[in-house]
Amino acid sequence: MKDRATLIADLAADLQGIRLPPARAAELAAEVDRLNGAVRAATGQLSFDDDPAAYAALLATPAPR
Amino acid sequence: MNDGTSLTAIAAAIAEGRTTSVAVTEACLARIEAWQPRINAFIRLDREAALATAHERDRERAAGRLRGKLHGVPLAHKDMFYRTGRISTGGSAIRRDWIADRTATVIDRLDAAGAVDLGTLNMAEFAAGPTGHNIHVGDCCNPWDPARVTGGSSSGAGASVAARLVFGALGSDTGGSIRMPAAICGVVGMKPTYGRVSRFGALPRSWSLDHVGPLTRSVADNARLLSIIAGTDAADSTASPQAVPDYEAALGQPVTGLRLGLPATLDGVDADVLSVLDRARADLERLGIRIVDVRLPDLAPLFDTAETIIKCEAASMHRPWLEARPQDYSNQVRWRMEAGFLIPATQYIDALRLRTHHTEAFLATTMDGIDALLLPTMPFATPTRAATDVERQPGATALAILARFSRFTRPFNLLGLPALSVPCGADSNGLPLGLQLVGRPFAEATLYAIAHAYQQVTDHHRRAPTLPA
Repeated sequence: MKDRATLIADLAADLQGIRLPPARAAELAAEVDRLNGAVRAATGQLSFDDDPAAYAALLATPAPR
Repeated sequence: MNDGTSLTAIAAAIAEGRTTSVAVTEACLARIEAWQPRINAFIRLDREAALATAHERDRERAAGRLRGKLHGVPLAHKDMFYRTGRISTGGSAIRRDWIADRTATVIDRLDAAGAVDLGTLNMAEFAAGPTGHNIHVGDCCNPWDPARVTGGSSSGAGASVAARLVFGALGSDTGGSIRMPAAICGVVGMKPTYGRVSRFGALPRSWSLDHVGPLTRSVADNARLLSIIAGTDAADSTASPQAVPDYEAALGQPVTGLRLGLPATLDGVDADVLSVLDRARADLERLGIRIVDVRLPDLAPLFDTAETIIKCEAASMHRPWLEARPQDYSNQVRWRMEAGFLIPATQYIDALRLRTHHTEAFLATTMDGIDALLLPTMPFATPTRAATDVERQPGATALAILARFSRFTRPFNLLGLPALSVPCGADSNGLPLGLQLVGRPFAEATLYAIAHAYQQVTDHHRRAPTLPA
């Protein structure tokens, strides 16, 4: 199993055409891990019918008083 | 003429013939010339065009015609609001010579109200940076102490309004870029509800989180500018069709009995800031506002969700330039986008879907039963430019400071709630500090009413930096 930094460097090169030095790949691996972790930790709240466009409707809903 | 005179007062003086647009514009130009070498607030000064417009406004008034509530009033804006035929750099090397092919809706609306445009203001490269550093056009410096940061990314807007070079300025806010420079420079800055103001013709940083708003000397000035720029726009599908209230009329609404939530504990906030916030709390209570203990959720997930969206959208829009001209970006701007290429699309879409849940939960818990939330804008006293210069001196210390800048601002870009920064005191170095009022969706009028009442019993917003002799 590849370590995270190598995996990120390979993904960047193969999928995006970006060459990353090992130190930068390690930094990005940690950053991507943190951001993906934050989103994945919250996805239990999501259901099949959750649509990103629901956000605009929520803002437009009159505030309860 | 320019010191201590508000936008609303100068607009009235011009409208009533007590002064002229030319006299006011010339006074602004003289102050800009005096201050520019010290703070580098302007990227481009359009002296001749501004004076030509001012003469035209005076001729119109003499003929009995007033265009609107900004007739003859000099403003300037962050160099990211397009005007057809004019260069709009976005604070970047890549767009150093790019000529806009459209005019931003907000610029059209200010023109229609009679404003005089003095030029374009310094900003972080591509609106990506919380400090005011810029390696391409030079750092914008804090008018209170040029060794310290202005905050960013609307650095020139904060600095120029604080130094009384202009009567107001537009900025943009994707993670705090209006509120941070407003707090650090000692002026008023409004990030309205997402969709309250059209983004058409404004350089994007992150389509989903970008907000356009005004920076001004007073709350009343801010209310006037927002009244003019807000509203639906066929050119921006995210601009809300909700009617725009008369924000200036709302300034006088009673605030007695309003409930303001304040978290019982605020971790990681400097003592200077807490002490000033305590005094603001007492001032607000004297106005009859009820301060209520509220629980603030862990802001880290909101912060990280917003980061995910920003990085993915920025990576997408910058990809062609990042591939063709990577050397034309500062390192820190390029670094801030790179993760966006490596976050799976499903994570990005989930971040967008989570936005609704995070906002619903925040409104149902923290905002439940209160009219607005009171927080510091910045958690610490204003640092120096040297200590936060990640481009010239990258290191863990500078990065750690940068990470804290937007702790109390970025979450409200994800939630899309209106948030207003108002001067509320000074740190131990004498530099301004700001308090932040956060409201329910489209409740800008409530924030203005509270902040205006606060400014009637305090004078923090009247303090202005002076040029050394």
